[in-house]
Amino acid sequence: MAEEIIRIRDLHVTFTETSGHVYAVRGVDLTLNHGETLAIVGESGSGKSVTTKALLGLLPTNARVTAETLSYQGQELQQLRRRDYDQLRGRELALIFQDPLSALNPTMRIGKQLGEVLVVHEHLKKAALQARVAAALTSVGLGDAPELARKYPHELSGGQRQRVVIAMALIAHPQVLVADEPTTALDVTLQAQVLALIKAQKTQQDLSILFITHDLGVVANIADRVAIMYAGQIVECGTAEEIFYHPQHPYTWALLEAVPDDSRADETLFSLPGTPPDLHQEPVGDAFAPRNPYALGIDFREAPPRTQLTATHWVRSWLLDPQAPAYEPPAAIQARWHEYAKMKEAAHD
Amino acid sequence: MTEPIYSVRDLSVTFKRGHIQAVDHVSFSVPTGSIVGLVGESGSGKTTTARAMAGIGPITSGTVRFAGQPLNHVNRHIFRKAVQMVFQDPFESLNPREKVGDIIAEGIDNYHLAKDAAERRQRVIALLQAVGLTANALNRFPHEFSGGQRQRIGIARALAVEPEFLFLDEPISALDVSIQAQIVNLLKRLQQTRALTYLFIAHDLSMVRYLCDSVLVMYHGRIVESGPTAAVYGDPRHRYTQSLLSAVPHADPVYEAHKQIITFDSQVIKEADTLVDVGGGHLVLGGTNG
Repeated sequence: MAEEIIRIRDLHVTFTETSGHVYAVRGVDLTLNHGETLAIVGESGSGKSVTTKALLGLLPTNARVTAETLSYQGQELQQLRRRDYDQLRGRELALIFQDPLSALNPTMRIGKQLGEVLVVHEHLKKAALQARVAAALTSVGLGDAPELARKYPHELSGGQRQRVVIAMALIAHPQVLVADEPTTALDVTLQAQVLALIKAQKTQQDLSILFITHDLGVVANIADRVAIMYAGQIVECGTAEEIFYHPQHPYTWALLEAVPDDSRADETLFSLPGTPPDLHQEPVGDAFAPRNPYALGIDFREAPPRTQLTATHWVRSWLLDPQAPAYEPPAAIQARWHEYAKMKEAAHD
Repeated sequence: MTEPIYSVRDLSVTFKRGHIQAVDHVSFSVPTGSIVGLVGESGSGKTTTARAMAGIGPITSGTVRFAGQPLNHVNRHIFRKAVQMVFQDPFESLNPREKVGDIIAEGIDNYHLAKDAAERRQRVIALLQAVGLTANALNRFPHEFSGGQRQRIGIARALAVEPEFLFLDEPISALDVSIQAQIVNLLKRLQQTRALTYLFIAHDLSMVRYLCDSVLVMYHGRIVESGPTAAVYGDPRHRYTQSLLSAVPHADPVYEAHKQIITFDSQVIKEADTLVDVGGGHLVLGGTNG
């Protein structure tokens, strides 16, 4: 059994705003195992970023966070003092965000910014500091590190900046990397390079990664396990293989179908009607029901329970209830199931 | 064959600062009633090309013709009505202090398209409905809408003056996946029902493949490949196009685990390279050597 690095149980986050309460996260269970990449997938407002911010203690003061467990390596984070949290965040849990520019101080040379973490956490002296900065820059594929260290952020290209941000996140050798849409703003070739870089660094530094994204192509590239979020809850969670080839939740189906398929260019692109619910009220029943062509009567009254399909795969959907009527997933999803059956067969041979 | 709505000949745009050749002798045309995709990474010159075509960016040399006339001879009043833009960030492009009804009606007012307040209101409601919104959006403000709804408002505003041509500048890249599909389907339907022509500027190659009749691939200010979408995607000939397409992630872990990313070295492109037709209007810079 893999070692648990992060454990979240029954996490709720509610924001108090002038317009009332917003029930942003409604009972999230999540485990990050040592050495794996777990992707949290969802649309804006699904609660994916709020979940990770709650974990990192980065939510604003109008957020009320409650959880049965919110722990890092067995240490309960809810009881942590502010100072210890800040320590942990810099040294053990590292962060990269979507916009590399906002993560960098425009008035400070690259080398100094990178070294700052080490000055704060490791009290390194100049020569040792310079060596570590140079090594960090080289490891993310930035040659001529000394020259680069003297530059300011605006003197770098977008790709160089994102590499610097990754180097900065990893320079203190953290255990966990939290990456929030790190490639969303990048061009495809740059995105491919950054993903390859993150994967290489993961192996080199023995990292565990929490990767937040809305792009299923990126997920397929990088994730070992996947959690699909909708309206503040995880609706389906499983290994990458289970989510991509044996998906069970109609929302997962919809996300997979909304990716344009090369072979169906003449047809209308599948699109989910409507928009995610307004979480100013806690949804009654299954929050996805109003947009779900597969919704049953009960979906509008009662929230679906969690059904465990395999040791790694679980789903919140009434379709998996023994009393649910027979249903047929969309053709594109059936094709994926077929693929899954073939994989399982091949694994048995 | 009808005359192309846009024809661009030898367009170059040089920015004085740093002598950057942003667009380097680019030629292409946009057939009336078609959707042309303009793809390339940041710095490829795609936005500079579009801005020059829209009359809001500089032209250093070359000509841009709209409906057969050089851009500087076209009547500005008519041109500004015929050509509209939809931007990436619908929030930034909508005035936050103005009600949605008034935002959409701006063009109607400017061009006196409604004879009285009742007709103005009627037109705005029809536009809201055309983009999948309802009349109750009229008196609300942009911040009350989701990203996808705001993009619908941006599209309604563009359609208000009954344009012939829309520049769609990354109109879906800021939206969520399920909403992207809604907007793309909406754009496709509007193009068909209103006989519009689009230039769709994007770095998302899979949506371009889905939406566009033909595609132009730009790199460092030049078109490296162009032609019918099926030909360019099905049989990419230029090394750069191949590298770009190989980098697109697929929602398929097995594919991703085995994919080979084709690398591209800018040295491959020679100054003297020209676009060569490799068949059926499929043009490749430097021909098959590209």
